[in-house]
Amino acid sequence: MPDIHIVLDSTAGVSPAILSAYANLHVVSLTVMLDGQEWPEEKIAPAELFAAVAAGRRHPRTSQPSPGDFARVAGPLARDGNDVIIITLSSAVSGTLQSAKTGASMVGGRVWVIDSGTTAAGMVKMAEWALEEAARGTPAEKIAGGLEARRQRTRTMFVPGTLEYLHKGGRIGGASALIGTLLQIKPVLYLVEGKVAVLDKVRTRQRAVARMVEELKRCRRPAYIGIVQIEAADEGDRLERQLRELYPDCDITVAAGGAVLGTHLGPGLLGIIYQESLEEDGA
Amino acid sequence: MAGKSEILAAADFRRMIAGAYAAFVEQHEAINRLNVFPVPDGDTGTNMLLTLGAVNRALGEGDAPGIGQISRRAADSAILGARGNSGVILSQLFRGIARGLAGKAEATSAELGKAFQYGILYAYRAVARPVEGTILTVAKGIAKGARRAVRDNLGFAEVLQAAVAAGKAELLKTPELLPVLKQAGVVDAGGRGLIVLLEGCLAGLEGRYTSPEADFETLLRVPASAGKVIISHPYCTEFLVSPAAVDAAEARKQLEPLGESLIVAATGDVLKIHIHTAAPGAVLETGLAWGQLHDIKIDNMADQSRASSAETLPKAGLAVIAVSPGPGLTAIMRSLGAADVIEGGPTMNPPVEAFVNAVHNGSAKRYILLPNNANIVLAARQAQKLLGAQVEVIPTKNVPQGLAALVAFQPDDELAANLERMKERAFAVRSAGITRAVRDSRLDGLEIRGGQFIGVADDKTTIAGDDLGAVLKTVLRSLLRPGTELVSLYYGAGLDEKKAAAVLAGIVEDFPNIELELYHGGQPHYYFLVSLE
Repeated sequence: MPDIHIVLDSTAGVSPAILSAYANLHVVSLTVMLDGQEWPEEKIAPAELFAAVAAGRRHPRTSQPSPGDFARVAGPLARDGNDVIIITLSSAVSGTLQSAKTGASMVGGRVWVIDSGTTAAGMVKMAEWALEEAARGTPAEKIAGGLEARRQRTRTMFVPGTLEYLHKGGRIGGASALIGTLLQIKPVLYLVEGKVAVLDKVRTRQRAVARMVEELKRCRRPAYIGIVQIEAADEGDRLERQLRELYPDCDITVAAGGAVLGTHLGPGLLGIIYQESLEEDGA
Repeated sequence: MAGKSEILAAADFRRMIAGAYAAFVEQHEAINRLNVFPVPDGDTGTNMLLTLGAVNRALGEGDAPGIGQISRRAADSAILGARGNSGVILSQLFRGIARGLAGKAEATSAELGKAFQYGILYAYRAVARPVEGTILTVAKGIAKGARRAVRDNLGFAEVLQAAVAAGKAELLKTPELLPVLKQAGVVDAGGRGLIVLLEGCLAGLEGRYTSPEADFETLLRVPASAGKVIISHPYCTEFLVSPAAVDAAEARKQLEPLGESLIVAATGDVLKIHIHTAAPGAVLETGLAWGQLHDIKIDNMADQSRASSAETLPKAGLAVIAVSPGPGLTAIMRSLGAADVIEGGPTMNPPVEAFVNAVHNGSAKRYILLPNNANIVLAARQAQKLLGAQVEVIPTKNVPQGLAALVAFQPDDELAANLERMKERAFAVRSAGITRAVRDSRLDGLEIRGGQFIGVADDKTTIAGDDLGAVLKTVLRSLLRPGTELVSLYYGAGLDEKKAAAVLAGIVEDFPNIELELYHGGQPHYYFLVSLE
């Protein structure tokens, strides 16, 4: 019987522990360019990028993996008769999905490409679920369908420490109107089909974080809650404590975002990713 | 004098208005001084003067054969020209008078007396929360005096005299009914304005008044928002339907799909229609089904604005129109996404017309108005009544409330969600202003000398003192709550950034763990406008 393999991109920030626990889990890296040099995202720390920006050097750039990068990973697996499911970072902010699709078409065979609609913990949770189902013998078609259902129930919201990085990185989307406001504004942003959008705008950071929590509370039963922070570890921990009190039985994680998120969102990022429980997951 | 045989015509009405206007030119400053709070704010006299100026101007244009028609014209122009709360109340007075005189070529003294009583009734209704000791007490007295005189069949001049006498008696009682008036040692300004109005009418009726200088009010005019004309519906079509078989709501419903900038004004069974349309024929056909059409006027606005290149954009989306008292605040409001900003504030209340024009000139389909001043709220509401469903008002009473609402505005979101969020944020902000007392006074147990700095927190005077920084500090302290994170200060009244920053530097140590942000407001009279969040 053929195996099912899961491929993530590097923005998921999947931990080495999980990676080594599953032989059928793979990662394709996005690239960060700083001062004319290219780095696979996991080889450079966000702090290095921020130091470079603070020193007035050129704003870093990122690039999606090439179709060939995906084909190189998925090709051999598919040729051996395996099923491959590629889960990418939201197409709202990256062309990674497109690369994966093109790569998959080069490969042929049984390859599915799923837009996670999110990133970081959201992607990790999708992969974990898919790996469990695969181990249980669920067919790849059904897993792909289940991932699609999870994507639709996943919410990704965040409070950037600054809008400068979103602006310079060209990923500001619906928040572009917030550039150049004469009053200091703290936007609460979220990922929605196709773009970064404004969930709300408030005047202070605390209010902004509280606004995310308020939004989370509208969810009846979160399947998990992933906190993402970049250079905001203390705030991330405080938020974790607060959420643990609110949701004592929920699976809550805190993780530092990687260099690609760092390039586009900047230091001071605090985000919450969660998914509403699906009926099939039981109570 | 036998009132029954006295016949009053359009010319008499015109003279009364001219007389009233002249009376306000003379007395508006005296009425302004009846201001309860020693802060420079909504000048009742000036607002009534400017509103009457709009009426006087409208009556001078063209002829009107009947007293009914001319009173309706007075009402229409007052509604559009109304400034401040007192102007809006005045406009309702004219609406009531017009209702009483609808369809009449001439009126007997008794009929005119009744019409004035209608006017008083309408004015009464314009006030959301009737409070005794205000203009309403005086209005009731006037109505009572007039009613008696009408019953006794007196001539109209005597009706006015009786009304004035009864009104004055009530005016003198206002300080007893309203403690703030007594404290300040004044009578109610709006009530005094009503008396001046009637005295002016009487002087006009009897031919004893002098015309004010022609350009007097241009000196007082508040600049309205300058807009560009966007023409997708080039034919400005206006007409009257009389008698009309449908009411204003039904007329509005039927005409709405045919164009934009629709105004339906109903006075009795007369409908006045104003609409910008691409199909004037269809509009007239629709009107014909309701009754006979009169005073038909169709202009091609494209001809009028041919000089400027007119864009043809369909109206779409949701936008905010905000009122700003200073250039710095105007820039902030625009940067926060206000589609249009109307200049206006404490001592310069913009007319209803400024809101109407801003909506007409804008490119959005629906608007949220932020008056940002307690004395401009009614004018915004009046504009809403004229413009119908395309306009909503969030009654922001000061600039900090308006800014909080604007920060929460999201053009892509639903109207209802925006309204809910904006209201919630606006009314959660605590706010204050630091100005100078315009005269000596005693208020809320506080002795205030003219020229002292005074802090007005959430519309209540809390402190007076000679040092700006000390007053600011005390006001901020009184407004601090656990969880206050941010204090935004908007400097104005001639302070420059350096001076404002120096004042701030003197108090910053007193507020640890709180962010103090300083912005250029540019508003007159107020050294600082402050919001705490």
